[in-house]
Formats: sequence, C-alpha cells, structure tokens
Amino acid sequence: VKRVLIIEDEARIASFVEKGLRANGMTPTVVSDGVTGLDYATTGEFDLVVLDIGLPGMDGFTVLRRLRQAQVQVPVIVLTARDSVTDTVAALEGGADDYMAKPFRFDELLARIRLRLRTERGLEVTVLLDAPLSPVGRWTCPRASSPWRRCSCAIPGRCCRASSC
Amino acid sequence: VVALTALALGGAGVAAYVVESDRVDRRAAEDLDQEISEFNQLRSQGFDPRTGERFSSVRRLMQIALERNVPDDAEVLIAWFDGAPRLVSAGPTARSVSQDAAFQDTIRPYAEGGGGVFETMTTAGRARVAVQPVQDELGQGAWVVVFLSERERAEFRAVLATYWLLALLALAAVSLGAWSVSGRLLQPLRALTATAKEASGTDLSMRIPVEGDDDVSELVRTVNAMLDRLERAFATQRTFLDDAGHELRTPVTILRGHLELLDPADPADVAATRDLLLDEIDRMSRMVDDLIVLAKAGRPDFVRISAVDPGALTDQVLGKMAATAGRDWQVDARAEGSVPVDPQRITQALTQLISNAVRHTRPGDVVAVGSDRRPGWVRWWVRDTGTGIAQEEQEAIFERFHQGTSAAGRGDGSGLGLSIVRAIADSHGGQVEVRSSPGHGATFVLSVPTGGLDDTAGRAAPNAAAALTAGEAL
Repeated sequence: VKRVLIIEDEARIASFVEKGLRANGMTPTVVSDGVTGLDYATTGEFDLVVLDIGLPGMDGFTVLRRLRQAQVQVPVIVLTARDSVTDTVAALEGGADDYMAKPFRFDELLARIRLRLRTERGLEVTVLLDAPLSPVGRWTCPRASSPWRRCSCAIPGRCCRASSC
Repeated sequence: VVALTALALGGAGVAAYVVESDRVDRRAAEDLDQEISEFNQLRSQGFDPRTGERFSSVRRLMQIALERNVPDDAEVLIAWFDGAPRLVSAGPTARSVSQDAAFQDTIRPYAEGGGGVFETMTTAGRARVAVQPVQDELGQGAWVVVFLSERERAEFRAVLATYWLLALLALAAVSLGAWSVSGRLLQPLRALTATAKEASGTDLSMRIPVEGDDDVSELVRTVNAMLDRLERAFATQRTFLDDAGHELRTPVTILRGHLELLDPADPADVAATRDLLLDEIDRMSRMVDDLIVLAKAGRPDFVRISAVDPGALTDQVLGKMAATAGRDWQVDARAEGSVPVDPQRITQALTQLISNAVRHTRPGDVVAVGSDRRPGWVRWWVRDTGTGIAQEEQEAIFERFHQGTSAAGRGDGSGLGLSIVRAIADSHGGQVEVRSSPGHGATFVLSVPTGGLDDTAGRAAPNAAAALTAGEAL
C-alpha cells in the first residue's frame, strides 16, 4: 500500500484528494502547514508527497528545498494556484518531480501520482548514488522508527535507508 | 520660421521696389516739369546774352537754353526744329537717343502738334518725355526733355539685386540656424512621440531622457512622471488581478474536485458534498463581492458623505453584530455630535473589524467597540481579547489575500476584509491601525479626519501611538 503525504492548508482540497486517493487504494496522510509537512516528509515514511505552494508557516518552495538539502529523494508533486512560468520553473528546479496547476482534474493528479510511484523504485538506487557527497551539516536523522539511519558505511554522515548499508 | 523670414525679406524688397519706383516716377515728373518751366521762363522773359535783346529765333533760344542747362545723367534735352532734333545736350546717350529714328517718329506728332508728356522706349530704355512746342514769331520748334527713368531704375535695380542676394544669404543663414535650433528644441518632442507610440498597456517602463530646464524639458518631466504613475497603477492592477485569479482558483478547485469524486449512488455523500459545495459557493460569492468593493474603492462615488452621529453608529453596528455570536460585548466610549462621513462605509468597516474579532476570539471573550473625537478627527475602534497578532504580521494583514499563519486556515474570510477597511479609511482621507501582541488581543483603530466641517477642528492630527494607547486603555 502506497503512503502519500498531502501537505495542503485548504482543508476542502485536502479532503477530496484524500478521499480520492483512499478510494484508489492508497493511504493518504494530510498535514496543513509547511513546518509539520517537512517534518513528516523527512521521516521517509512516505512514498510520495503532494505539496501545495501557498502554505502557512513555511511555503512549499522552502519545504521542497529543505527536503532536497536533506537528501530526501521522495517524489514530490507540487500543487500551484499560479500558472506563471516562474513558479513552475522554480518548483521543478527546486527538485519537484512534477506539478499540477489549480484547478486540476483529480484523474490527472491520480495518473501523475501513479506514474511517479511506478518510476520511484527503479530510480531510487541511482538517485542515492548520484547525490552530491558533501556532508549535510545540521542534519539529524529522522525518527528511530524510520528505515532511515545515519549512514556509517558508504557515505558517512548522510542519511540513507538502513537496507543500503 | 524660414517661411516667415522669407516673407519678411520678400515683403521688404517688394515694398522698397514699389516705393523706389514711385519715387523715380515722381522725380521724372518733377524734373520734366522743372525743365519745361525753366525753358518757358527763358522763352518768355529771357534775353539773348550776346545781343541783350529778345531771342531772335527758336534756334537761338534753344541754343542758349541748352548752354545754360546742365542736365544730369538721366536727362536728355533736345532742341527740335525744322522737323528733326537739331541740338542735343552733351553725352553719348543723348546723341544715340536723339538720333534714333523710331524715337524721332514718336516725338514728331507731339513736337509739331500740341506737345505733351508721355512714356516711350528709347535706345537707352524706357523714358519719360515732355514736349513743349514753340510756335510763335520766332519760328517753329519744340523743346523736348527726356528723362531716362530706365537708367535711374537700373541704378535702383542694381541696389535691389544686391539686396536680394543678401536677403537670400540671410534666409539661408536663418534656415540653417532655425533648423539646428528647432532640431535641438524638437528632439525631446520627437523622443516623446516615439515613447508615446511604444508605450502600451504591457510595457510602460520606458522614460524619455531629459536635460535642461526649458518648457519642453518641463513637459518631458511631466510626461515621465505621468508614465511613473501609470506604471504603478498598472502594476497594482496586475497584482490585484493576479491575486484575485489565484484566490478564485481555490474554490474552483474545491468544486471540481468534490464533484469529480462524488459517488452518486451514495445519498449521504451526495448530501454532504451538496452542503459543502453550496457553502463554498457562498464563500466564493462573498469574495467576488469584496473584490468588487475593492475595485470600486478610489472611485469618486465610493463614499457618500453625510452628517453622522458617531456614537449612534457604533450602537447600531454593535446591535447587529452582537446577535451573531456569543461574546462579552462592551462599549468602551461613545462620541457625541455629528461628523461628515459615509455611514454605510463606516458601518461596513466596523462590521468587518467586529467579525474579524469574533473569528479570533472564543465564546465569552471580550469584544468591545468605541468611538471618540479629537479636534479635527473622529475615531472608532474595535478591541478584542483574542489571540492577537504578531508584530511582524501587523502590516501584512492589511494586504489583499493575506492569510493568517494560524492553523485555522483561511476560515470564512476572503482575505480581503482588512484591505476593504483600509480602502474605506483611505477614501475618507483617514487611516486604520492595529495594536496587538500575541495572546493579548488586538485593537483596530479607524481614524477619519472631520476637516473644516467639524466644529472643534483646528488642532493637529492625532498621534497614532497615543490614539492607540488611549483606545486600549479604555
């Protein structure tokens, strides 16, 4: 069962996305602000993140940047209410795997989520090995319960899945 | 300029020509008159200097007349008798003129007839001729005076030609000068035209370079300033539309998403979705209403001033709002008298502030309203003991579509409420301020100047901080 994190402050949007994903056999979790969202996303508990850009506390761009700085490679699909090219480019360059402009068709969002979930497995190893080797300074590994650990074998100081050590 | 100068120079030339040729004509007439009268005098009163007697013959008379008279260059004197010019004044011109057969033929009828004054052509050009016939005991003949006006005119023409030459040179100089000066003067105007052509709704960024402090530079500066204002206005408009579009996308996303995922076979789902969507549509239409109010703000008919009792207005608003939520409603103060404001807009602003206060308080919390007057100003305030607003957020909350950072999300607000309050304050020439700290509630103060219409007017505007402190202390 795929776990999907929905970081969206508008409850009524989050609710239908949640409902739709659940109906399609996934396990969605909803958080409504950026700080909590980043916290959840870095646990590594999720297979995919649906990230809104306009969030209270910390906006979606910041969440995405922090996430990638922390070498968390979970696929991220950005939701944006602005159709400006600048925002799209910023999202993709910030490390988003895909984006959806509001208002969107749920079917299309679902299709994109499925596509990312399919390719994620194959890319995972490559992505981890291709990542820059510089140590991430203040990074502390997520909760003990997660499969992520501070890596002491291949890339010291970095977090990686316990299984890859 | 060039045409004007050409006209002036040409006019002067023509005028000089007319005046001068008139003078030549007059001089010709005078000269002829004088010669003829001199001759007549000699004839009637003169004596032959050699004999001391009267003249014995026409020939003698004319010979003496010629001897005595020294004609100037333009004059030819001819003594005509025995059917032809017999004696002429000295000079080659005189001879050639007098020996010309055509000229003689012209003269003859006058000389042998009654005489006269006329114009004719001679070998030395156009001339004016006076013929005085003599037919008496001395014999027959005629005294012919020729005034060669052509010659006089030729002199004048030479002067005039020089004048034309100089005039043309002057004209050329003026043209050159005018061209360079006007080029310099008109250059900014051309830049202005080019810029005005380029400027469009999408790009108002260009400005015209300006230097100097003449009238044209002033005009250019004014146009530049106008472009500045236009650009700002367009930028504001664009941001507004961008924001509005952005905010309206949220309800559209909600409507479409919930409808897409609606299970028509499930009556409970249908009922829940229907309620949710209707509520969303209400919220959307409130936002549209608010957007329209904001779009109207700044138009001259946005406020309709009338005499309003600020205390009574406070009571009315509180009376309406108190029924909507369970709060500890209080009145801090009531101002008396009447002030010139738009009662509907002020009511709208206070209603907005009160519903904000309700949203950020819990049942039982204090929500208080008040009004008071300072010289030249009237103030209303709405005070609550709710969650308060962080210092760094206190300016941002007045911006359009600003959503608080509280986890409550966007709530019922369109994100436009405080923008509308500020627009109403602005349109009254007043201001709205907030004093708050997290956990200690917030006080919003709406200050409006009462201008000369206020009986207690005259002192300085209220110090914002003092006003707020007073508001909070109340």
